[in-house]
Amino acid sequence: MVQEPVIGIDLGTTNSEVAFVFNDTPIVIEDDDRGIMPSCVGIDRNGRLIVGRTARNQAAAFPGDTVLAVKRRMGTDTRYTLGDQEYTPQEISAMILKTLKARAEDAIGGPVQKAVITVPAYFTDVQRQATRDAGRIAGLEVLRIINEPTAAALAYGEAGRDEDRHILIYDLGGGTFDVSIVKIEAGVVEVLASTGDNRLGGEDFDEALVAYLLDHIREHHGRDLTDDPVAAARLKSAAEAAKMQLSDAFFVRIEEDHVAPDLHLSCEVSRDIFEEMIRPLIEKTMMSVAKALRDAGLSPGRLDKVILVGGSTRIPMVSRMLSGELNIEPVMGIDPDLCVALGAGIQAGREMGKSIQSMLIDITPYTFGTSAFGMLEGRHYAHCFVPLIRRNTKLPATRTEAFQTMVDNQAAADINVYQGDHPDALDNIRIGTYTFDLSKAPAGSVITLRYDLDLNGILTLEAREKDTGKTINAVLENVFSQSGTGISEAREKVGALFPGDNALSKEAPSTGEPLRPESGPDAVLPPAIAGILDQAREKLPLAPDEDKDDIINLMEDITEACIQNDPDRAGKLAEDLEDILFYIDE
Amino acid sequence: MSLGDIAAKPGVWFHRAIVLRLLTLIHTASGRALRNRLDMDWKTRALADFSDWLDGLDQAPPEFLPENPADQSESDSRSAPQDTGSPFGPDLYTLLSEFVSLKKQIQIQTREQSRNLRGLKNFNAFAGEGRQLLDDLARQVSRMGAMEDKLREETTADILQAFLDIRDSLARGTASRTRVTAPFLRQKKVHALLDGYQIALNKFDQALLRLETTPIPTTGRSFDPDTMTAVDTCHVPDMPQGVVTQEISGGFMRRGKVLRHARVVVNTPGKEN
Repeated sequence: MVQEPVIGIDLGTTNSEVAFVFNDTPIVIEDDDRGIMPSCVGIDRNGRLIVGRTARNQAAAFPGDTVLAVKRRMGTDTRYTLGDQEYTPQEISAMILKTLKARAEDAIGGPVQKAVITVPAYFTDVQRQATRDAGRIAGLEVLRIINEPTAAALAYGEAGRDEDRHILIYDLGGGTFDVSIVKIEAGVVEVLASTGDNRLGGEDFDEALVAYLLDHIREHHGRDLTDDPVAAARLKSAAEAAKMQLSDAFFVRIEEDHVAPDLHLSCEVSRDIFEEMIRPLIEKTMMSVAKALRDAGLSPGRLDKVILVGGSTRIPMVSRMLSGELNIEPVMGIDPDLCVALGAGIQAGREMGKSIQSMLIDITPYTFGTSAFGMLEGRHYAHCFVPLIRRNTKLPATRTEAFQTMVDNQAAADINVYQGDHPDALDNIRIGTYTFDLSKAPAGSVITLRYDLDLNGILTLEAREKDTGKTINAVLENVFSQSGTGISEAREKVGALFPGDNALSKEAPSTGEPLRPESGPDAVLPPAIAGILDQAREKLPLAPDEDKDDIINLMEDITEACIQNDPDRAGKLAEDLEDILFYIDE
Repeated sequence: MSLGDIAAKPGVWFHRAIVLRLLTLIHTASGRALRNRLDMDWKTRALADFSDWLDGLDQAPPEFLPENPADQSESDSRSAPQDTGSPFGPDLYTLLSEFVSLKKQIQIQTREQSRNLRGLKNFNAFAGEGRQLLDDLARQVSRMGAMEDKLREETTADILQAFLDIRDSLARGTASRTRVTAPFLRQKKVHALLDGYQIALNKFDQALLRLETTPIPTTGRSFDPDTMTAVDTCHVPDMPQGVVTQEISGGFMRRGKVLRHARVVVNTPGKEN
């Protein structure tokens, strides 16, 4: 019987995605768009219904013919006019769902009629019912409505664990922010608290950066481009690109020619400056995190995991602040833009009765950083640990940090590579040391240090003098096994002290078969004899009772002959055994 | 009892005990003789048949028979000295030896047959797995081919995207010609510079064309949401509504797909430029 396909849909405020389990692996279905489709519906100049990117393209020019963020209106009496028709939020959502359904049908190669849809944890029953109705209008039987944080936990395989877990899901998207705390008990996910701000997201960070650039132009060129829409549009694109680059790089140069007549922009932005711009916004999200913990009646210490969802969580400041507040390193192994959709896909796969493989997450198990002069426990200290690539970061990863020379004409800087999490670098494991001979420069000259870590545990580092461009490079291999080997060796050592310890025992469990000797002579048997013994083991249950004893005796004799290193006798006995086996029907 | 009765009794006894038995014996003997005669007929016929068959054979004896019966006897006595001594009797020892040898042969053949069967079975299983592997491999190769094509397309698109930004800069530089307000004597030099820009831009577009990449025409055309993104609106009274008034960055098509959407300003009613 062919299993009827079930799809998982993340019906988001800004973007939506659809996932399906192909070969036991959930995959977000793409259509030249990384699988991310704007949650946008419109009517074009020719009266044609357009959904997704096409509708989003015309939103600025024809806002009256375009519907954005319909999710915020689900369950209300709002009516949208497109062309000469009125539509409810459910009907608009149905158009998005129908487009995703068609996309899935193309990929699967057959009709799709069943779906799992995600909604925010704070959605009321009315809003959930409206979502269910939207599915029905789109021709989908909604088998289940699941909460977005639950989907995220599913994607990270949390629902399949036996022990009780408390997980915080921090979801910072393009235009909305949600924080939820879920409790997972025997595979059942319960949302303990959910709060957020549905007007806060990555677009606010872009605007902050645009404002900075406008200030820069005012200051350096004496021109105010605030009311120049073309300049504003170009600055917004540049700001968005710079924001993304600043997640990996410490400095970004934004260069735009002809921003306005006879005006070219060239402006360097450091991560520090950007983080100062957005700090009030991130701090606001931290207040929501604290509120969610209060609502759930939990202390940060009770949290077992912090999951990052939404593209804006790629900003390093987010994980750093969360780590500082909660004393737990957040995880972002799965693409934060697709995490909820993948969770919905996993649930859809379960509805189909499929065994879902856990998502393959390539993350670094250790933090890698360097040491620098700084403050530790209120006093100056020469070996403060500065993490660059933090534990649980998705691989491959690139991070850059900036440092300054301490004295004029400093001759050299030692670059130490550490693995660990202790604030005192000397308490971590040092896996490399390099000396960077510096050019003559005043104190405070900037040196950037970049780490590139790949899936194979190869750490490439580059130190660069910002002013001169002088660099040194180094490559460290097998950085994951540097401490892993130590652990396995220690385990062997400890195991040797506890010979009776079951956990460390290497003995195979008893199978009830008397025929396979414990010392494992099969390993020294000629392949032909080993094959006959295997055949005998297979045929033994089928043998008549009068032959069974003969077979068992022969097998034991053969084994014994092998142990006694008597291949001739073993061979002859094997021939006798083979004669008996010939007459046993399979 | 009368004298006649006494005389009659021995007569009855004689009749029963002697005469009847004698008659029975005669009858039985005559029956056997008859049967013997019949058996003899069968044997006689068989002998006649055999004789006919012998007559049909060559005169020379077959090679496997000794010329002299004495040789046969000598040979047999060598191989089986303890036997019956009869020169033509069965050689049981040889027979037994050959039976033992035959049994051994059969065992060896059986074992070989068993091994061959098992080998054949294993080979069949292996061949089945091999076929499966080959099918999987063919599927993988096909999938890899498709992935390679996709990857090549994506890589080309990524590289092109980076160069499209440079083309935008060249285009903007060239377009600035209209705003040049240099003194008359320097205008010629500035225009020569901008002509150079234009030539560079043309070369750039020719290179793009070789990579099947063509610009999307925008300014003065109706806004098309499939190929353009509206980033702002303006109101130009003498232009139709929904027409692109300005291109912020160019759009490009490659092999029937949008490589990059053009970002444009669209003419709409009510908003003065």
